[in-house]
Amino acid sequence: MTSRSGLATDLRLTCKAETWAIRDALGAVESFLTAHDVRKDDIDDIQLVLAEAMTNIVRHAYPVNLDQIWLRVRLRGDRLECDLQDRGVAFDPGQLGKSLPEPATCREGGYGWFIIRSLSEGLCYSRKNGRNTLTFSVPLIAMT
Amino acid sequence: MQVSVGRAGSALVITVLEQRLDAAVALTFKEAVRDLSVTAGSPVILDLSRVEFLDSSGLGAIVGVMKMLGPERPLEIAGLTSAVRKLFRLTRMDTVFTIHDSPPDTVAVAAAE
Repeated sequence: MTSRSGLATDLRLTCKAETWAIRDALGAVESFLTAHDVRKDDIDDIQLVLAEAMTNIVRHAYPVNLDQIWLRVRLRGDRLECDLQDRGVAFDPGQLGKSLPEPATCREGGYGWFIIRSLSEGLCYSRKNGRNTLTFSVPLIAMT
Repeated sequence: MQVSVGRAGSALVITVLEQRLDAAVALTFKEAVRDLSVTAGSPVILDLSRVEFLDSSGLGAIVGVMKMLGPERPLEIAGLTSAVRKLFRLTRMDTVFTIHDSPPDTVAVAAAE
C-alpha cells in the first residue's frame, strides 16, 4: 500500500534477535515514520513499545539460541499497526503488565509489559506452527 | 558506553554521553557508573541531558545504580529529554528520584581521586 505522497505505508524488517540489532531495526522504523511526517512524540512511543516487545523476545523466546525477529508495521489512518513474529519458546503475556510495580519498591525490572499495554491498543498474542505472533497498534495522537 | 564525571559543590555529577540508554548498554552503563562512583561526592547526580531514548532496561539499570550507591549517597537525576521524562512519569519513577530540570555546571575531577 502507498500513501497519497507515493510512499509505501508498510515496512517489513527481519532482525537478528540481539539487542544491538534491535537498535538498527528501530532506526529503520524511525526513518520510515519521519518520512511520513509522524510527530516525534508518537515516534518516541512507537520506539519504546517496539523496544520493549523485541527485548522480551530476545530474553524469553530465544533464551539460548540467537534467531530472528520478523517485524511489520503499517500506517493506517491515525494508527500504526504492528506485528512481531519469532519462532522461539511460547510466551503468552497473559496478565503480565496489567498493573505497574509499586514505585517505592524500586524494582529493577517488570516494567516492560506495563509500558507496552500503556502505549498500545488491541494487544493480541497467538501461537501457530511453532511461531509466536504479537500484534498491537499504537495510536498517532500527535498526527496532523 | 561513554560517561564522564565532574563535580558540582559536594555532588558528584555523572554525565551519560550516549543518545540511547537501552537493553544493549544497560549492563555496561551500570559497570561504568560503579567504576566512577569510587570518586567521593554526594549526592550523585546523573546527567541524562544527552539521552534521547530510555527503555525499561535502561531505567532498571538506573534503579540498580541507586541501590548500589545506598542511602548514604542518594542518586538524583538531571536533564530529562521529553521521551525520557515520559518514561519516568509513566512508571512513576519521577516520585522516587529527585529530578532537576537541567544539569549543574561542573568542574572536572580526576577519575580515581
